[in-house]
Amino acid sequence: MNTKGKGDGEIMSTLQIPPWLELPKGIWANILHRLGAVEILLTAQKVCTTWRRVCKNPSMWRVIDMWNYDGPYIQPYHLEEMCRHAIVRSQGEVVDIRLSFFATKELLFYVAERSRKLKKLSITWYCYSKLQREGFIKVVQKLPSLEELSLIDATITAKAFEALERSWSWFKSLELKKISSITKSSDEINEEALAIAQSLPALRRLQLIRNYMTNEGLQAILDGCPNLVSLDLRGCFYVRLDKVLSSKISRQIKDVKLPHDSMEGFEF
Amino acid sequence: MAEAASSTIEKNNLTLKSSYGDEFVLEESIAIQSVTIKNMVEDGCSSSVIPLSKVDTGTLIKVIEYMKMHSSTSSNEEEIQNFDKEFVRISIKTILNILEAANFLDIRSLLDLCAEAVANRIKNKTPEVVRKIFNITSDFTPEEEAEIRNETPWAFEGDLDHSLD
Repeated sequence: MNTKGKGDGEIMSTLQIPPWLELPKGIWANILHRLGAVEILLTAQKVCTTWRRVCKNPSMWRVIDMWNYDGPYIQPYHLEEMCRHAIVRSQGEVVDIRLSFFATKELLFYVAERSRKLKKLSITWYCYSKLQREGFIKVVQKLPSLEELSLIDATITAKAFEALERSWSWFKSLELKKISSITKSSDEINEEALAIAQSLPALRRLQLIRNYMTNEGLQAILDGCPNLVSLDLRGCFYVRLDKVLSSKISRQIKDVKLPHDSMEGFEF
Repeated sequence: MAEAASSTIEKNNLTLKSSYGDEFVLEESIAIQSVTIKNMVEDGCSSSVIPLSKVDTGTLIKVIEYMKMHSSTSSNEEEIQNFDKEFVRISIKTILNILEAANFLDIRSLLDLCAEAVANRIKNKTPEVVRKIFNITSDFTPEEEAEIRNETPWAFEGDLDHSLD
């Protein structure tokens, strides 16, 4: 039943350990980590004691990925409990966490309280809207190591930028990806871009998908963020690249994606 | 010491010897994708045969095939991607052997390719099916099983994949 007819007369007994279970633990961690937090908890750790030990190691939870879980349906509140469990297992070692629709305000506070080493936080609009501006500010302020933020469909207001001025000053990477269209008045279209230019001087990577900014906003970013090495402007159709702006970009930045480039690789 | 003389710029060949004693001659520039071999070359061990006592012949042939493709200047990114996809269409046992060799030889990209391939075969499967795929027997005591149940009371509500491939 449990052999697939290997033909070499292998007899399985409960004492026989397949040789690959003796692979270095690091290899198993590398493999199992790719399953994402949900399957690690619900499948991998239930397979055998070797895998369970690997799954209990805090290093397994340095990256907690609950972003695009696409397996069988699970109750959202179960996903939330799993996330708390993952945070406990990380013992404060988590550096990168990706949460989607199920994350509540309480969960984000829970994460923020226990993740002093967290460098990268990725959340969707749904979490962001539940947090509201005050909650968002509080979460960012509680994470002393945070330097990368990825938001889907959220707009950071000038007020939030202002409140976070100190935290932003060492930020290395910002991703703001919009999916839905919102009507913006002409004095609002560059609000985010100008605030980024003013508040995030150390920025190295910036991804602004479908931002409303015009050349004015882009120009401000290029001036205000001199350390940029990567800039993704896909879908920013109000930016009209002229010669001056194009040459400024290519002089300053190594890795550029332009407004009309293909959206391939953009998750969501 | 002859060490200094070994680092010439011209095309050097290396001989890799599998655990079965089979020898394969390979250009040094290709072989040094393996950090382990690169270190050996830098330490001056390249003039002799490099014994790979942990890598059997079949596995070594696959590893060399991979290194040749990935150092070829004539293939583009798409060809390499297609090669990688085909490369891991093999039994899980073979992938695990290559994975172990890639770990020993320290070839990061091959290690990641194989780890991803193994993970893809486990995705959305039940623990029982995963055990069958790997020929693993559950070795939990009843106490440990109870502990896991208490610790992780959540469950999938949708259907899992029960197939073995």
